[in-house]
Parts: sequence; structure tokens; C-alpha cells
Amino acid sequence: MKILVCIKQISTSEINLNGSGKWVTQGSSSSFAISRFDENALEEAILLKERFGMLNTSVDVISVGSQTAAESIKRGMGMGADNGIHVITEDKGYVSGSLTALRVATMIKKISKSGNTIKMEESDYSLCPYDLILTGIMSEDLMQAQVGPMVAEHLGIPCITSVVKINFDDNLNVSDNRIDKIEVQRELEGGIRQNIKVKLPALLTIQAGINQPRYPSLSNILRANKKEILTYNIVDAQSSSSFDPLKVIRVEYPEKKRAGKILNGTTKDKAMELKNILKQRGLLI
Amino acid sequence: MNNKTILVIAEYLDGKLNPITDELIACAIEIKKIFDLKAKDISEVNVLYEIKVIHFKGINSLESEKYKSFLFPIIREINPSFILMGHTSQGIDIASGLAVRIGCNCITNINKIIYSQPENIDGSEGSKSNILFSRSVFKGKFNTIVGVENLETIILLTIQSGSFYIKDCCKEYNNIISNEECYLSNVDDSIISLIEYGDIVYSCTTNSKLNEAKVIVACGRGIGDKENIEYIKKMAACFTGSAVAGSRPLIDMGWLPYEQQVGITGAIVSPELYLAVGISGSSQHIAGMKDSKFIVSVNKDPNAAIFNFSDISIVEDCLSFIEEFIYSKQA
Ligand SMILES: Cc1cc2nc3c(=O)[nH]c(=O)nc-3n(C[C@H](O)[C@H](O)[C@H](O)COP(=O)(O)OP(=O)(O)OC[C@H]3O[C@@H](n4cnc5c(N)ncnc54)[C@H](O)[C@@H]3O)c2cc1C
Repeated sequence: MKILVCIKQISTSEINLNGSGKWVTQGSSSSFAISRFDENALEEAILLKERFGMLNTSVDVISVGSQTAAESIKRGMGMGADNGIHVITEDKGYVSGSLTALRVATMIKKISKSGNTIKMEESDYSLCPYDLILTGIMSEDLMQAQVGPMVAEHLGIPCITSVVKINFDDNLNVSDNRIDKIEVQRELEGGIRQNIKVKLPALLTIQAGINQPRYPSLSNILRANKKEILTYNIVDAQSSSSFDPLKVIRVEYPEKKRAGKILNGTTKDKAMELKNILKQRGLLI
Repeated sequence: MNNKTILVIAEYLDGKLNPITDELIACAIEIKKIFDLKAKDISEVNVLYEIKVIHFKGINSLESEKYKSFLFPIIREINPSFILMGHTSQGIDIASGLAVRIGCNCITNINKIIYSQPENIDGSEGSKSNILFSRSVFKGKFNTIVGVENLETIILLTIQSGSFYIKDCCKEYNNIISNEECYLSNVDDSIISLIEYGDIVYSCTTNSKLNEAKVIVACGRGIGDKENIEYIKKMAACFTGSAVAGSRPLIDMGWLPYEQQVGITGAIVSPELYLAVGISGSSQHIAGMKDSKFIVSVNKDPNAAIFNFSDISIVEDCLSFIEEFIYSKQA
């Protein structure tokens, strides 16, 4: 079974409005992480690989982003992914989900897999080279929840969002050394869940809570460092950022819905003041 | 007269209309107002925007692949300028894929519609239209204001719940809103045969403890460690009729049971006092607690979104503050 996980690198340093108010600046000590939901998606893929090793299961990770994204791809390989794919872009700032999805899908169509190795082909494949594609439900920073469903649509495969459980036990249908159909549970609001069966290939967007992502292991990191990431430079591709139909005009702080009186002074002053406010309101005796 | 359509897709669950539908209509009215205003500005009255609400019958809207295939030809035929859906679990499952199929613009999780003079926007990079859309980013800390290059292409929007309200003044618009029912005809699409939609499972045991609590002390990732829930429990013990709750990541990490999760996928609460400790204030959490009578938040980031929804804002390291609060209470 061939699995692909789409991961996004996000900044974990402090984020502020930039001078022009048109976008944000990220703290000087730039530190990065894999967006949390994507980490859940990757963990789920690795769990599947561990369970279905007999089916020659392999996990690749793909990330679209600037040079620094390579760091997150390596981390993904440190967690247990076999191959890394990096679509290198030079955009700064906001990128719409539709542009990212187009780039991911374009790249997927160029990939051919044989066994555990991947290769990029000159011409596009019409078939999806993966049995299962996983993404996070949304990115932690831009929160668009678009890339997964859009990639699926570009590839013409079914998509299920907000998946909280993947079940292979019941009705597991292994034919030809591959899994034919899987059963998943997706989450709706307020604790409601929906059971769905889907034929592979399919794309699932993963909701947090499905698993606890592992830390990269030393042996995997060493292996990852030796392995080359398959890179593709977007500059020569037609899907460059000038194609983005979405234009960011500015960034602003949301309006206050309540007074949000700020308490001043030392920690002790603030604690005393809160105590008094709550007493006055009869909330504390 | 040239008519354009703002299409609202009514959302149903179990045959019942979801309240998000009212918000979609309210949003549609705001969009219409902007174009009415523009028409007045440039005395261009030959474009009339009408609002059409479609209710799909005979199809379970949770069967998203089927729903997409069903919607697609209908949208083609209506050829609306705008399509509005909820940024709900249903909307997320349907909207973005549908947008690719239609080949239209897609902007998700909108919380505000903004009227703008095109000359305010710098010409080359900016949008040349009068309408801009605000959407929440970075855990609700900022809104990005986005526009599209031109309004020739359909724009599909998903709307963040809790952002738009039908106000009394909107009643005047009642006569320009048309409701239409659509029945499922045979849709021919090979993708449908690949997916089988099963049962709905109601896993939620409604949590009486959170609903009955007068005071809720809720903690988020800002508390740093599982052990620090002890601090939260001690804080809660300062109040009578109190309960401990958490943001979703704490439940996902197994620090607290699901019954104690507040938010759109957890419990919706409105206690006398909601004390949010180390919670950033993303929209999914806010949706679960914004109607609390009094809200106090402790966060080390002075710009955390939670402060926009708080009566009292305390910028502090949460554990030091709790220690000091417990101490001052005993004093
Ligand atoms: C479909 C969907 C449904 C969701 N449903 C829910 C839901 O029902 N409920 C929910 O809560 N979330 C839900 N989420 C998740 C939501 O998007 C956020 O990820 C989550 O609410 C963030 O939790 P948090 O505020 O605890 O963590 P973070 O966003 O990481 O915030 C931590 C905060 O702690 C502060 N902090 C850090 N250290 C300290 C310190 N020492 N002292 C004081 N403050 C500190 C930081 O400044 C930050 O503001 C959902 C997400 C999706 C996609």
C-alpha cells in the first residue's frame, strides 16, 4: 500500500503585524514545526505502515513551501516516512488553498513509484500513484481547510474530511496485495460521528485526537539525513503565485466583543483585584 | 435589467434546518447591500442582486460526494455570483472540492464582509472590486482581509458560525429572498459508487456536570504539562458549584476526558463565570463559551484572541497567577 502525507511547515515563533499592516512578521528566532493536524496524519500513516508491512506499505511526505520546509520533511522522515518530496516555492505571506492544492496535485501527477522508490516523470501520469493520501483537516496558521478536498478533486478520487478513526479490521478486503476498501469515522459537531466506507485510492483529512504523534527516532533521523529529498522548483511551473486569484489586502486585529479590562500591577496586584471584582459580583465568597 | 444571484445553500441535519442557514442569509443580505450601495454610488441601477435560498430534498446532505455531484449541474444552471455555505463539518466536506469542480474562487471561514472603495486598494496587486472578505488566521489572533481580482468568476464562501445575525432591519429584505426546493434526480457520477455512507453515531453523552456548573475553570495548552491540571483543580476549588474544563488539544492528548471539552465539537456552555487559562481563543473554542455571563482570561500573550471575548484580561504566566490567586484568597 502506497501512502502519501501532505505536511505544511508553520512558524512557532511570535507573530506580529508587519510595518505596513499588509502581512505579519515572525519572531527573530525563527523556529518551525509541522502543523499539528498534519503530524496526526503522518502518525496515522506510520501506524498503518507498521501494521501492514506485509503489504509492502510505504509512506512518503510532500511539502510545498520555501527552502526551510526541507527541515520539516526531514523531521517527517525522522518519524518514519520513507521518502520526502519538496515542491520549492518562493512566496512569502498568504497563499490560497487553491494554489497550494494545484501545486500538490501537479506534483503527485508527475510521480511514479516502483517499490519503495519514487521518481519524477517528464509527462504527467493520469493515474494517482498512491492508494491513500492523508492531510491534516486544516493548517494551524491559515486555517482554510481547503488543500485536502481540492487535491482529491484534482485527482478525481473521493475525499472524506475530519477523520477521527481508520478501521481496517472489519471487512478488510485485501486483494492483489493491496487493500481495496477502508472504513473510517468522521466527526461532525457536538460529538456526532458518521461511519463511511470508501474504496481506495482516496484522500482523508485527519482531525486531531486520532493518535499521539511520536518523536523522530535517532536511527530514522540518521537514515533520513543520508537520503535525498526529491525536489521540484515551482519557478518553472505555471502555477506560480501570480496565478493566485486571492489577494491579501491587509491584516488586522479582530474587534473586541467585550470590554476586556486589563488588570495592571504585579502578579499579586492582579490577583487581589480579580478577587475583589469576583467578590463584588458575588462569584466568590 | 441584469440580474445576479447570491445563492444560499440551506444546511440540514436529520431533516432539520441548521441554524447556520439564518447566518448565511444574513451574510447574503450584507453582500447585496454592498452592491446596492455601489449601484447608488455610480448610478448604475441595471444590475440587481437577488438572494436565492435552495433547500435540497430527497438527499442526505451528509453524503457529500453525492451532494457535490447533485449540486454541480444546478449551480451551472443558476450561474450565481456568490455561493454561500456554512464553515461547518458539512461545509468543509463539500465546499472546497465543489469549488474546484466548478472552477470558481473559494474563500473559507469568512467572519465579515467589508465594503471598500476600489481606489483604497493599491491597483496592481489589489482587488479591483468593492467587496472584501475577512477571515480569521493564526488561532484567531488576526483577521486577514482578502479580495479577488475580478468578480466575473463565481465566489464560493463558507461562513464561520456566530459571525452574522439576522437583524430586525433585515426584514425589509424578506421580499427579495426566494426559497426554492430541489429534489434529487438521478446523478450520474462514477465517484459516487466508490463511497458508502453509513450510520450516524451519537457518541456524546451530554455533560450535565459542565452544564450545571456555575463556574467553569477551563485550561488550554498554555498550562504546559498534564500535572499542572492540579493547579486548575485547586483554582476551581476556590469557587462553589465549579467544574474543570479544557480546550480540545488537552482532550486529544488524553489529559482530560471528552466530557470536559468545551467548543464546537464539545460542550456549549454559558456559566456565570468562565475562567480561561492558557487558551488562545480560536473560533472553535469561542463557539462553545462565548455566551458565558462573565469571562476572565489569563494568557501570557497580550494579543491573544481570547481577550477579545473577555470582560477581564490578565496578561500573566498562568501558573504564577493561579498560585498568587489561591494565596490571596486564603489571605
Ligand atoms: C473542526 C475542528 C473542530 C474543533 N473543535 C474544537 C473544540 O470543540 N474546542 C476547542 O477548544 N478546540 C477545537 N478545535 C481546535 C482549535 O482550532 C484550536 O486548535 C484549539 O482550541 C487551541 O487550543 P488552546 O487554546 O488550548 O491551544 P493554543 O492555541 O496552542 O493556545 C495556547 C495559549 O496559551 C498561551 N500560553 C502559553 N504559555 C502560557 C503560560 N505560561 N501562561 C499563560 N498563557 C500561556 C499562549 O499564548 C496561547 O494563547 C477544533 C479544530 C477543528 C479543526
